[in-house]
Amino acid sequence: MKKTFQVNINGKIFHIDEDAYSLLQNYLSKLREAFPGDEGEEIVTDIECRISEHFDQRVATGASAIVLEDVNHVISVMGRPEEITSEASYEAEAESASRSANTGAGRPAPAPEPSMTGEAGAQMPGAGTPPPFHKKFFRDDRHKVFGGVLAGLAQYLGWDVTVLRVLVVVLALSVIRFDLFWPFILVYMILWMVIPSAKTPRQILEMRGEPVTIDNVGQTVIDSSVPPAAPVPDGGNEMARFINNVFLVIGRVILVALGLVGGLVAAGTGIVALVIIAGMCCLFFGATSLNFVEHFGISGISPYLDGWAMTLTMFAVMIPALCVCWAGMATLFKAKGMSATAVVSVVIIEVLLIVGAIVLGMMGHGEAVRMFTEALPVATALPVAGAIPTVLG
Amino acid sequence: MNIDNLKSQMRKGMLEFCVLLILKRGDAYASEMIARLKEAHLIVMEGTLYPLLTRLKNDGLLAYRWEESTQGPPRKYYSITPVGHRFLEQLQQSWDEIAASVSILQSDYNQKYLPQ
Repeated sequence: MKKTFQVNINGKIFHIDEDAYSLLQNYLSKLREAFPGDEGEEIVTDIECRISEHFDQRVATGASAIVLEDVNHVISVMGRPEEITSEASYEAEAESASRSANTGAGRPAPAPEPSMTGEAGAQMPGAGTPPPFHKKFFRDDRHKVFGGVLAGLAQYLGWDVTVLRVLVVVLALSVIRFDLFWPFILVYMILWMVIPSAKTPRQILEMRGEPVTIDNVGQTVIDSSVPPAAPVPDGGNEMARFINNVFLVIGRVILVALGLVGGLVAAGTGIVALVIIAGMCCLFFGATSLNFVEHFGISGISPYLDGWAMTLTMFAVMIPALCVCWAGMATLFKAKGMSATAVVSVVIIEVLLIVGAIVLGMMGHGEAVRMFTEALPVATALPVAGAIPTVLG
Repeated sequence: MNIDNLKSQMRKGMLEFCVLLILKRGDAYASEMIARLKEAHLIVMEGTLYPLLTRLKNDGLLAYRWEESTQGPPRKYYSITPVGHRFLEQLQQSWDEIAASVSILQSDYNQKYLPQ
């Protein structure tokens, strides 16, 4: 069962399948890219006219809706944008000359071969030259365990993703010999934040290193509407599938653990901060019998300054912890992460909290300074992890 | 040397000439021209024709008018302008020269180098 749309092409109404529609739309927008300006608009309009004639013939021979094959057929008859520009010497001649080698990167192109009718018999296989493309490093969201960094890197390097994952994990875990665990985590997080994920069909093709042609793009539009199934691209054997599923499970466990630890730390610091505030309130209203002052080692000279310094310290730890908790949960449930604005505000609040805690602590000369310096590494390391949900969205 | 590349270069040069030749016999709209070009095995991609027509029109060699059709929307009928006619004559002349050169070389070769 497929959804169909009604489209008006050159004054004629056609029913067209959803996937066929998106392919056609893609084709036309590629044509507009290839033929810019007023002159180009006229060309594309004329080509649209011709497409409508082709569809009209299809309908006349009994088709009730335009399907994907019809659009693919029309594209093969009309020619891909780059074929048209090179055949009609629309742009510089040199463009078509050097680029005859099809760089399929050893992977069978997913383009469906439309069946040619006699009409298109004059089709010459070598006439079309693929457009230039560069293989790019994208995160592969569809085969990810955490952020798809390794899956994307494997695509980029042309390696097997299973081999790469095992290699990275083994290297990262050989803590005793090389102490590489934290550097790996740090590099991974930075890559996660810096490298964009491949979202559009064009980006997915660039990630795979396949030429971006209209056939490919059309097929990828359809491919990417199917939800990803496994952390390994298809074609892997049973063993690879198993290993990657183990990775996936361990990854989920780590995410849950991050969420739990973050949540617990946030709850703990929050409670301590509330207790201190409550204590100071009591102190302010004259209930001197409370022993929280001695308990936290707050200086007797300036209990309020010290108290606030500690409260701010607690909040400074709590906010990143909340971010970690959120990051873990968002990754786990594929939810949308924080917006860039939210991250910026969190970082600003965090800086204010830290500065405030230091100033107040120095003024109070109390225990808070010691506590703060202990909590500082945590408080500064966590915002990095806290920023991760941004890149998920 | 890529044979397909060379062939397409040759076709490219021919296509303007052939479109003008078609229109010399009477005004036509794009689909008619495509049909003719296909009969003559000249066109590979239908889309190729459209940039070419637009360019010829913008260069003042062709003009078009809209004409109602019995089936479907109005059609763009192209015709040759006087400038286009002069251009076609020049093309015709240079084509004759090329054809003559090639046939001289071909017959020359046959007579001189092939055993009789």
